[in-house]
Amino acid sequence: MRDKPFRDLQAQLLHGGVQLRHVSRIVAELQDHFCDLEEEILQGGATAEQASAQAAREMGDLQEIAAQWLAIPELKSFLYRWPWMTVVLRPLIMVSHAFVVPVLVAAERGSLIARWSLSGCLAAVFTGTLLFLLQWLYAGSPG
Amino acid sequence: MNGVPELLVLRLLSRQQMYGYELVRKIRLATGEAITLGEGVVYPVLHGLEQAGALKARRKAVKGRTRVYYSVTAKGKKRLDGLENHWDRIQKGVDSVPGSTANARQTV
Repeated sequence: MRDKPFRDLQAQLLHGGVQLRHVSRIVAELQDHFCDLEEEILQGGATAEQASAQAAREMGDLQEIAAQWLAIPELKSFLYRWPWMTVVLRPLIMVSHAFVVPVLVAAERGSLIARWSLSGCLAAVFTGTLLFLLQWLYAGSPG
Repeated sequence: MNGVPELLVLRLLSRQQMYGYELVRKIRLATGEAITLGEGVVYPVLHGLEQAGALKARRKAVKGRTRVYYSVTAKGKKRLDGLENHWDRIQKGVDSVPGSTANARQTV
């Protein structure tokens, strides 16, 4: 047993909704256990291949072990444990954010927004006045 | 065998903190190999107990490897007491059945 069964286990756990931090730890612990086991068998006089094969047998079926982890709800990510949240609450939260966030940002940066708004208004008044004057001068000019 | 791995794990870890590999070896030794859990089977039990607050995990670097040592919490001790009482009741129940060895000893 080398890396592949552990990669398969990792994929199975992630696919089953186990949180990444738990998956990383599970795989690391099992790999360490496997190495310890292999070392012990090697010390008993087995060859590297024999030790690896025996350690794999003694570890047991990783797919079966994975099923035991998948049965622990606390290890799963929030959305896997409460899937209805994704359907109902999440869109509601997102929609509420669409209204709340601009208000909060505006409240936090009120003075900056006020200054920019005032500048914008003044610029509009100035441009409007200028255009009006030009229009008036053009309309009043002879010919 | 339902609950046996949990009982064994809690009982052994209540004496000293251990990491997974060490724990599996201790279970073999302590039970005279009568109970041999699959090497990998102990980890879901450990993680389940940790999630339930019965165990506390601590990482330690030992010889270039990061070992995760488990120890029993106060909640775990309570859980162990409960499990032990449960198993005592089962054992007494079995012993009280006519024909069992304990019952035979009492009647002699």
